[in-house]
Amino acid sequence: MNILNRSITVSKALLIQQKLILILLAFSFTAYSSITASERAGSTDISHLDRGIMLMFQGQTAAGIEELEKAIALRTNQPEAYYYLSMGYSEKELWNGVVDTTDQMLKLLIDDIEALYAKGRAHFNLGQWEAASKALKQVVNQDPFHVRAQKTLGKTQIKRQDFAGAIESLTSASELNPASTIIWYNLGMAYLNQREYKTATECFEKSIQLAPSFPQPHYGLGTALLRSGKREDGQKSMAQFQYLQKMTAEHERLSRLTQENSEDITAWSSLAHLSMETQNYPFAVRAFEQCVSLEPKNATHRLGLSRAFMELGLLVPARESLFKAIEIQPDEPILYNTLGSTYAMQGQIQQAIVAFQRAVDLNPSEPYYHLNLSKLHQQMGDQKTAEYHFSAYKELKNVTSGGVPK
Amino acid sequence: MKFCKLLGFSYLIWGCCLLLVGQQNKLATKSVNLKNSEFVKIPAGWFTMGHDQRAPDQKPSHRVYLEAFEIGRFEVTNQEYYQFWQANKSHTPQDFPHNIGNWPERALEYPNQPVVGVSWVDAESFANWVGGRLPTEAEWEKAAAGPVDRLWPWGNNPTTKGPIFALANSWNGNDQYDNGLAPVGSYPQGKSYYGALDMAGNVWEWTSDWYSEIYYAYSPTHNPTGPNKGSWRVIRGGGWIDNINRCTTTMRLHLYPKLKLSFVGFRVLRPLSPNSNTETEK
Repeated sequence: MNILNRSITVSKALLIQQKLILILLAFSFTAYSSITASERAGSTDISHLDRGIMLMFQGQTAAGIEELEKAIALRTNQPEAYYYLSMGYSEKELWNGVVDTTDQMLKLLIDDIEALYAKGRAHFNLGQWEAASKALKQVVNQDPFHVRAQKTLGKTQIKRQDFAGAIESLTSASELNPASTIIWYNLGMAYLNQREYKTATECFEKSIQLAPSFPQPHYGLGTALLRSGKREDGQKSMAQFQYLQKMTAEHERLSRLTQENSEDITAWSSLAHLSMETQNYPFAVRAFEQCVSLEPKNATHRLGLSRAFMELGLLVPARESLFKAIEIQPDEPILYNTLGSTYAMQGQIQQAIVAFQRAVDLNPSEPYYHLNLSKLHQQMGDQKTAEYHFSAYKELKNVTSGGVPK
Repeated sequence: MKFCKLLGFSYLIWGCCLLLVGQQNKLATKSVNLKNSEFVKIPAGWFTMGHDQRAPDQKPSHRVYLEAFEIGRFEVTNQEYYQFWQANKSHTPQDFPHNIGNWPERALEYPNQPVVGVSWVDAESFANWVGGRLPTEAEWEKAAAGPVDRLWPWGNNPTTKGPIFALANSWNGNDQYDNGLAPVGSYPQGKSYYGALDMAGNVWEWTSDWYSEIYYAYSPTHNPTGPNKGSWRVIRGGGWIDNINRCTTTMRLHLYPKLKLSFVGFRVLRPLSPNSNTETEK
């Protein structure tokens, strides 16, 4: 009986233990499920934020915007998400979107100067001068070193015909960033409107010096010179402005074509060559790179790319591009001539001579290949070979007098 | 029978728990691996900071003098950060279920990957915890570019011969870790002049400086520490999300310091005494 009682007690105890364990497991499972669910929800908006910023960094703005909008839809109190979303809208020139998102951000981070600046810039681009001025003044009051705000405030003040205010803002901006062509141009415009032609001329000249292919400062300079009685110089500047404006219009037309069809090789190629002509070398690199990606077996695009790199002083990538072009067209003399130039620019004379010699071997009737060789042999002290190539150059060019140029 | 099953099930659960705890303890018992051998020494001296042919915020290139310091040969790893996190749970890295996984699971699974998903404050706190600090922008750039103005830590050419890119972990880089994190030190050929690794690619690295796009125009020549205030902190070096052309020694980006992203980590700096004349590793 005792044994039976004991076994019943043990059974009951085991049953209770079993129930307890089951309850514990059920509770643990519920708790686990609820934690992972909430974590999953929390992680999702972070995932969208992370992916959104990553895509923005990678230049995939449209996809970045989509991710950031999802992040905000899941959780509205993420100031950083609003900021990067405003950057995306700004890149797409959706200025009303920028105003809305920065307003949201400023509710979360009152007086964040970057949000205020983005908002001011958006108002400026919407032509809302008062609102722009208000936001930008808040920025410069908080941080007088905020050069972008000083610049945009100056531009806003010009639009509002507050030229004295513009001069003040833009002078601060020019002191903070003397390498900005836009700041000098706008400062010139402010002085021009104040009829201070001499100072305006100086500002426009500085702007042109920094970016010779930017048309507007030429117009400003022309106007300032004409108004100060320097007619001939003024007309010259105006002519240059018209030429550059034509080039800019052509640049815009070609850019539109490439935007409509990113695989339009003719448009990309024309854009690349136009950029070289207007000395916009960084853009030329970009356009030639696009040409190369579309037609990797085209040596001419690679040659163009190398020349754009050379203009920027980037000789190593220039050579890389030439080596690839030579793999495609190993008998093209101009490739070796350009390769020689990259070596010569770095003072690697022996390699330069080898490359120039190869160019001459492939096309002995091109005078300038001989001239290049002649100059380098003279530099190396090999007068005899230098004179031989210089004679060939003279003969081919019908030059009758003079020695080997240095 | 039921009892046996139940007992077996209980043991199974206990076993799993013990295994998990054991794994965590195994990681926790490793000491923070930031000994002398894990730092590279950068001697006092001048170098050129910035680049005149690159983005406006990298201009003008200018000469900068820095006192001697030593900097982590590697980016701080999950394993190292895990120990800090055990003692400082307020600095929990962000979960990223969409790509690199959640914390601390990813620390257990990938102890040698660089820690990511940490804010600037997390990074600075860790650096202080191990007796160091975050590098300034100038210190970071000198450690990466060396005294010879390299555009990438290994030199001026971002290409290599051979089927696999052996210099850095970058986006679509054919580098064995495409579009994800690589364990630190996976690219010994990509070491900097002073021997620091992964200074191009893998993860962007927090620096101590506030960001200003015009800072180079007015920064001091000796030991610059960045603007006094700002909204963003500077990050350097490029990460696994970037094309190799963005992973240059002079490239500057900036982030809100609170952000915790799957491609941003850091490395630690320790100042050296002014009289330190230790030979540099090349």
